[in-house]
Amino acid sequence: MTMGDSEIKNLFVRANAQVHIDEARKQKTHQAMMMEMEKQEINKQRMEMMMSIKNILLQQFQYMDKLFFYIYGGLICLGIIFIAVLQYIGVSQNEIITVCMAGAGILSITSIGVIDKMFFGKMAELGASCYFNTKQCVAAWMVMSGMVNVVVLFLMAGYLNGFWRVGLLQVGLYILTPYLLSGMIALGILSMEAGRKHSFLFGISGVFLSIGYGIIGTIPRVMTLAAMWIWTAVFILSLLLFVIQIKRLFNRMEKGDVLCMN
Amino acid sequence: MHELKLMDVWKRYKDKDAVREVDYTFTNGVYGLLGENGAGKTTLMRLICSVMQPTEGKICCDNLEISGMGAEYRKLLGYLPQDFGFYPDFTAERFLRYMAALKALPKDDAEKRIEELLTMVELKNVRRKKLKTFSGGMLRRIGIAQTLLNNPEILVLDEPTAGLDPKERVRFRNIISSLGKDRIVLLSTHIVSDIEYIADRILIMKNGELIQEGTEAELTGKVKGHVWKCIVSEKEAECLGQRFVVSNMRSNGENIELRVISEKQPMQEAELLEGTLEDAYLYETQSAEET
Repeated sequence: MTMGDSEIKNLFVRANAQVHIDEARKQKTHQAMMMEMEKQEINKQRMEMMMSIKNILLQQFQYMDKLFFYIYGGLICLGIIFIAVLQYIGVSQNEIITVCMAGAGILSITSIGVIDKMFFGKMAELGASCYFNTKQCVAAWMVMSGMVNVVVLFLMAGYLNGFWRVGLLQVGLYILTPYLLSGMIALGILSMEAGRKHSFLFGISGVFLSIGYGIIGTIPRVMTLAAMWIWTAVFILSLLLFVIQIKRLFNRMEKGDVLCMN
Repeated sequence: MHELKLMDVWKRYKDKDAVREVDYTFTNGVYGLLGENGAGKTTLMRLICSVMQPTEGKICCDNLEISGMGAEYRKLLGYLPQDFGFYPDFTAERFLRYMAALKALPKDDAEKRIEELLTMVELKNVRRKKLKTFSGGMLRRIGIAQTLLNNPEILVLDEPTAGLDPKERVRFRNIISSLGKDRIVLLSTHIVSDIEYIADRILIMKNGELIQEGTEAELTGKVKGHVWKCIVSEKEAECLGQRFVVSNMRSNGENIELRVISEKQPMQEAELLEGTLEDAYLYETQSAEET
């Protein structure tokens, strides 16, 4: 037999009568609830006033100092011109691969060096307290520059594969290994204590690594299929270290160690 | 109203504890943080602003840990670091627009707010000048303006009055005082009078620890009966200076008038004085044998 509405209502009334309600506590709970609702309403209004991530990035890009973006873009253009000139002059396959290796390394260091110039230094601490904080700025730039770098590396790989008939797997290893190796070193510099002269270190590491890649390029049979297993091993190691360095950098940013100047 | 709770907060560096065992709850009002250089004030402020993570302990806003709240917490925040950074080639207006973008303020709201704030900090006439041409005081004012862009509910100001002239300081104090009515304002300064006038509660830090907390009256009450005026010769002044904490020294013709902080009467002719916050601060931050 099912219960009618009135019976259920009576059941609730009887049950309520058995429960002692403390008026003071009831008032206190009501007040706390009202305050919480008010807070949530204010939060909702604040959220409505906030921009989307896309708009934040667009506005940030509009107002930020773009000098270092121009330098970064300029370097890419210079690299393309340099390779075109070398092609015109006439160089060997090994020489052009070595130039591309150095180019990939410089590209990697420059894109990470921009982070140091744009988001680190004295602005880092202030930025870390903002809605879109330094960590997010760095992550956004890494994604953005990473995409540009991938396009440039693809162009390089296409060029080496198309013009110089170098196998795609070989090209990938020759370009990506120095890219990751240089990136790993640049990230290490970035993770160093705040306030150090990073620009100098980025510059000097770029020069030394380019010389290093140049030396590697002169080693006999280094670009042959027989040496592929060495390239593969170095590539895997570089990739591993690169990922570890990214993780380390973000961990240090999280802790605030690399963001505060003193 | 927000409640910011610090629970057994520690921040350890390799060789020292910058912040030790800090337990405190902030609600609406102005809090003044006093302490000598290296006492841990800046680190504590960085922890509160989630710029740094505590090594131990928790910081909660409305019972939620701030590290977990992320952007939700940062949107409530306005922070002025001690050594605040800026792009030197930015104009004042561009800098504020950039900061408004980082604070996720929609363009129209940001423009209105920038207009108001430039007027408030009296930098409207130099809005298109590059920051590298600004004086220390002007930079401080633009720094203060950026903290207020998002109308923060938790305002943290590290040495906000450093570099401001007396008129600017008074104006700034009044602004802070009015802001503290409906939000948490925490400011650190070396200028005791700044805190004396506006802080509802004063916190004193030493060696990373919060050693004292209270209203101005409560803190000055603790130094009652320990502040003395001594009129002595130059030689005696030197001797007293070595034995006691001297908060003020004034040459008075042949003699020197000393303001001595000591639990016992420093000399027979010493006259008891009313204590000030500065006396209380010195009393609390000196070791027992010094006082």
